[in-house]
Amino acid sequence: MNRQKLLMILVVVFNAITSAGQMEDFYWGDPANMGNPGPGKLMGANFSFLVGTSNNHFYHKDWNDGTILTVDNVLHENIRLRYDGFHDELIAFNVRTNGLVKVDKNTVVEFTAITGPGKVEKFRKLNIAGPGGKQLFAEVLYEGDIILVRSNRIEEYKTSLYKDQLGKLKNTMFLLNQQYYLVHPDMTIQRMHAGRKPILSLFPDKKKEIRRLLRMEEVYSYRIENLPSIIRLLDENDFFRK
Amino acid sequence: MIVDRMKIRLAMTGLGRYCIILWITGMLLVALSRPVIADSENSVLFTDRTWALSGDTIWFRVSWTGDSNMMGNVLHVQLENMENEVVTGVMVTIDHGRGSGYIPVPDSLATGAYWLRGYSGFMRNGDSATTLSRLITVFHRFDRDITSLQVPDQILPVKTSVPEGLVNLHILRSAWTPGDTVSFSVNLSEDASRSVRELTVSAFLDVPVPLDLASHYVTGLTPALNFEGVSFPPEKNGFLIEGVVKPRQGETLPERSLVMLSISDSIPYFDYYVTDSRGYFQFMLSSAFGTAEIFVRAVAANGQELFTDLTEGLMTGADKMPIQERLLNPDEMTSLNNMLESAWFERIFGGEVAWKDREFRMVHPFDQAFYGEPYQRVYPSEFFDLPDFMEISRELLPGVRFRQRDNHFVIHMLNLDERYYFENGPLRLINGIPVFDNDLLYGFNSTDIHYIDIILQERVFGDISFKGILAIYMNDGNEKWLQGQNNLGRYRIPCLQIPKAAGIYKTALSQGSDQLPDFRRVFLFESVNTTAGNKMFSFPSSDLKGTMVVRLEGVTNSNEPFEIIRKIEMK
Repeated sequence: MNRQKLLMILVVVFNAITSAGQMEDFYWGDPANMGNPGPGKLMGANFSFLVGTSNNHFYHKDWNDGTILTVDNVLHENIRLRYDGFHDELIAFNVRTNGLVKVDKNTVVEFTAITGPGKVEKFRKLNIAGPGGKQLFAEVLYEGDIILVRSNRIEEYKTSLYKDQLGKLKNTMFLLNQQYYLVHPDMTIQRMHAGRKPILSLFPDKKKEIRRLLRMEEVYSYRIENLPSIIRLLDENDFFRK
Repeated sequence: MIVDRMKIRLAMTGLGRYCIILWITGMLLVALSRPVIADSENSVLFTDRTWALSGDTIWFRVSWTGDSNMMGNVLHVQLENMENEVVTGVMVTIDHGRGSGYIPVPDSLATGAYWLRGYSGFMRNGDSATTLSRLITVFHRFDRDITSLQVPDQILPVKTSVPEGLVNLHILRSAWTPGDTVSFSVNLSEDASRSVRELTVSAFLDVPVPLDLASHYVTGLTPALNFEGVSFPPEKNGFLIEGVVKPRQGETLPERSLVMLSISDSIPYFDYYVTDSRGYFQFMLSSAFGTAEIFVRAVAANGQELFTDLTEGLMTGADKMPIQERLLNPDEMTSLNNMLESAWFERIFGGEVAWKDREFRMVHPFDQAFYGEPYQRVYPSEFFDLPDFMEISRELLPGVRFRQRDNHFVIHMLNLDERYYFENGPLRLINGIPVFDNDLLYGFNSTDIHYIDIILQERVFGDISFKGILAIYMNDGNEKWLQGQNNLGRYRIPCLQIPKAAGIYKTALSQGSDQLPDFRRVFLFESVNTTAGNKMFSFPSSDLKGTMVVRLEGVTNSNEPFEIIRKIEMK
């Protein structure tokens, strides 16, 4: 009986000590691992793989080291990140807290992802859809007097029923849809397609000069993969300079 | 002895020699890796006067040679008493090596000598720092019959004389009467033009200040807070707010605590710092100008609330100067008394305006609050009046559960993405300031609240995260909720100074009225173009008689301050 009383008193005293002026219901993450990341802090929403997302949504198949430049002109370095091409969102992994964050898109200017030795992909937020349109992350392929970008969107397509790798029946699949755009100095956007004609139509009054330049430089393939080198060639020969 | 020799010989053989070389190399690397710290040459302050009355405003210009990329572009300028305690201070931004600003002298400041110092906060990263300080004599405006002054003893000023042929200050006339327009010229030779970096002119009435008029003194600086291992980022268009967390009486500091800084602004500002067991915290507040009201709150990992204490000034003088008493002679006493009396009359007729940054401006780089776009913004005034927050949450706030449990209130918010209610409470903000007392919220009714933002997801900010956010914005002037927030630190802090042109004494207070006397004591403070040639200056004097000082101050490209002084009698 005495022991029970003592226990009761101890419980009451302990509760009184621990609850006085405390905010026991307030959660602020993992206190043991969090730190002070620096002058700027990334803002976003917690990201979960369990809800409304799939590994197929990502343009990057794995986590990459990278940097994020935010609109407050802070370069956040040594960030693990992936680009969700389905939702057009940037997902970052906080190594200190082991947390995933969907970075607020309106706070980001651009980000880079190191996808291999010496291979850095730079993504910039651009209004590709025109005035009033939604801003999208687009990969910067060439940047000079003119900028060539590529949108790397993952899109879901209806298919006939099939079994996926796990044996599940599915009727949709995710495919990468890439589109190329030229960003002019006045920030107007021009969609680009593969082929010689779209290149020549960039400068209708200079077709002869372009043909001569391409012939001199032995450019014979106009596949879309070669677009960055062709734009570079035109830019280096001052075609985009007014 | 032999053993000692053996030891030395051993040391100089193979391994020993290798160790010594390694040690020397190590020391060299350590020395090289230390940042180049600003030294006394870096900032040279020029003031519009050598003495001031309490309540006056001292205007200054600064020439700075620090590397703004490495050290930032913010200079702290502060007034300290002879005990090296900060009396008041400001922060000015430096643009292309130049800056200017003003320090309002507190109205209640006691008569005595005070240090005026300028430094960059980044200087604290070094082992030691020095700066060129100036001495300003302040007279309390209600003091009368001052017979002596306490001044520093045994201190040598830094002085460089400039050959008159290079820079010349020429007063056009020798006799002047009060009310005259005083004219003078400054002549710079080609050589001077090449070697002078900065030049200012000032004109003010003289009083018997027992200090070397225009001297600069090399003085040591020491950090206000000194915690080993703490580094200080450069202040680029921003400044550091520092302090320490304190536990309640009789308790010990936790291993880690979370310090939250908030500013209620058009877009609420929020930042956090995780302290170590010493409780030190620092915040970099960028692009904030004027005077800010900041709120600081600290919590331990177990939710225990802590107290916070901010430091004033990042650095202070390191050396306490011996003080001597300097007696004034009868003439000096009379001159000083006349000046103090005229200051009293000046106050009656309007007087010099003490500039203070009462307003606050902050450039918000993000067009959203730190909690992102709200899921919903609710204006209770658009609905029927509801008597308490429980009714408001029930009727107007989707996904917010505000319930009474065991004589207390609890809040849980819906995680909209995952369709369940968070187990933990959300971050509750009132006017952008975190609060943890749900019982306080209960008392709010529809007329108290302007609008409520609700965020129904787990928000991440840096390394911390919140299980939903409930942000309540009160109607203007409603601050009664702040009562009882004992652990909430509320501070009014000076931010970067809002630039103002030092032109107050260009317009006499009596201008436009022949009835009012003109009691100005400072007449001119201007930057002088350092190109070669003759430059004319003129200014209207006031109705006060006495000795007027016309002073030309400058600094050479080799960081040597110099001055030329001319005195004229206003009879």
